[in-house]
Amino acid sequence: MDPITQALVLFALNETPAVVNAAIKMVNAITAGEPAAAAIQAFLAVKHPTYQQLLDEAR
Amino acid sequence: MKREAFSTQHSAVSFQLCSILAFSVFLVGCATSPQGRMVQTATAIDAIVMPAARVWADYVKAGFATPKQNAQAEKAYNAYCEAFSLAQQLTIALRAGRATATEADDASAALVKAAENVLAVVKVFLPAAKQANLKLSLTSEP
Repeated sequence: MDPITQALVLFALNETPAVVNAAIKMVNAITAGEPAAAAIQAFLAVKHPTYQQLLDEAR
Repeated sequence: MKREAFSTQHSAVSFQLCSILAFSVFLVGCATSPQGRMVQTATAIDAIVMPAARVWADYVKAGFATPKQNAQAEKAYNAYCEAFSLAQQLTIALRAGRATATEADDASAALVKAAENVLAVVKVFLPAAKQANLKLSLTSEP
């Protein structure tokens, strides 16, 4: 298994479906030649909530 | 819920953190290309930091954190998110030949440092013995 696949497997095991979907969208966008910076920001908006969002989602 | 009860309830998280960290060190060691190392470092580090940040949020919501701790955690978390974003962008730049392996390694090191800063603040929810283990694991990061 190549390193990228290893990382993706580890990633998928530890993430929610929403984050995995966002990651797939990011990879597809970059592969399709869309601007990488925008694709990454869209992914990170799902992947990393703001600190306040973390507190709001706390149990 | 008392603070001790919270710590006991979340001791499984500390075990998970140490296990994932050990696995991440293994994966990073397996990577041969700078891009592979970069992706694996970011992925593995994030698998440690985000669960810890979420438990920290529970800890804050339960009223155990002081305002000073909360402010420190927010600052460290924001810095971590920034380091992660930079690492992601550098990974793409590296793939396109617009960044060097040295830059990638520097960004990985910065990301690890930012993650350590987050964990240094938020680990107060862990029992003292677990805190020592987590520190030991982090300092063995290559």
